[in-house]
Amino acid sequence: MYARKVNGRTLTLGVSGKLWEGSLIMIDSESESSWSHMLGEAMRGPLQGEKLTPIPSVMTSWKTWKSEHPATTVCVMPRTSSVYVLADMDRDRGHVIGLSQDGRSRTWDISLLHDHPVVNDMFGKLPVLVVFHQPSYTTVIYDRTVAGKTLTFEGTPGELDDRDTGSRWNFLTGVAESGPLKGTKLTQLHGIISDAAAWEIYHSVNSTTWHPPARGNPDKR
Amino acid sequence: MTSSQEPSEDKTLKQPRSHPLKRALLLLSIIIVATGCGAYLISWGGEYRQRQAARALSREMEKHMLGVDNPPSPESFFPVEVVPRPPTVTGWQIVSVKQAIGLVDADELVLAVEINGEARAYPLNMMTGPEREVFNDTLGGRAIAATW
Repeated sequence: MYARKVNGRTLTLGVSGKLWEGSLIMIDSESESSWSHMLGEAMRGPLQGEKLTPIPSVMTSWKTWKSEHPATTVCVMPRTSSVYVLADMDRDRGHVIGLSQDGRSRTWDISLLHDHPVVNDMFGKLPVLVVFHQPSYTTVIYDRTVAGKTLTFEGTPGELDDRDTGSRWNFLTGVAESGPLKGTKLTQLHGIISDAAAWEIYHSVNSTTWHPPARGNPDKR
Repeated sequence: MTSSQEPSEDKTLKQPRSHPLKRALLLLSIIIVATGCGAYLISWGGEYRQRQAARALSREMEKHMLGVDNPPSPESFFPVEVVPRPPTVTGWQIVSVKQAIGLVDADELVLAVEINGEARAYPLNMMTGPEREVFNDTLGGRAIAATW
């Protein structure tokens, strides 16, 4: 999900019909520049070098989304596919969630998150929280800094607490629903769900992968 | 035939009468066969050229393959056309949770976002395929490209 305003100009982005190493190349009707979908960057044309501002979004189930956002709207059209249902999202889909910023990237393998649904991690110097909610196949990444302090989370996506204040957090909205931090909202980061292979092709430089902590040593990450 | 004298003048004179049809048929079958062979050869030639072109393209793609030595950049940008450029998708409807009953299933996956307090979901099964991969939408006062 991207904002499509670049230098004050609103662009109409579309599908170019071209792929670059298997990933979508978009084209804007205003300048006819070619944009990498994966990188959010214009690779050719008058806007070459410009970047689209990423907007953090989530992939989740309709049931889960509407229960947390009752006032949500939904964009409907006749279906062109039927495969994106929870029943088809098994563990071996080969999905990762990736973060990419300032030429550096890190991935979390979703099959591993099945056993580690709440991960306190670092992305460079940024403390991050990765939450995987298996019933809705949702993975969300947050900055776990609140008012300059780093929080450490524990529990499950359904009962997500920070160890520092004992506040209870909603994994999908990132809002503390009870406890001392009630009403505080974590900043969601632009995590991208991708096929592991497609991500690797684009992020071969300065890229790291999260590994689960060694058994019996859960606090050492 | 053992004797050249055997055929009567009558017969040989009669024969041409039946010949035009036979000749026409023969000619027609020759044309059909020749056309078939020609078409085959042409298509074979076409296929051959296509295969050559595909091989040349894959050699070229290999040369441009992204990796540690060739990270993504405008210099390494090597897009390959796979389908003609489709028109920008239009004609979707924005509906409420109540209106979506029967249109969106509970267990369907959605791409979902909240901007300035406004939430919207995009069912992935409705944004799949080259005609549907990018939705130019507006939410919470921001122009967005819903794409995944």
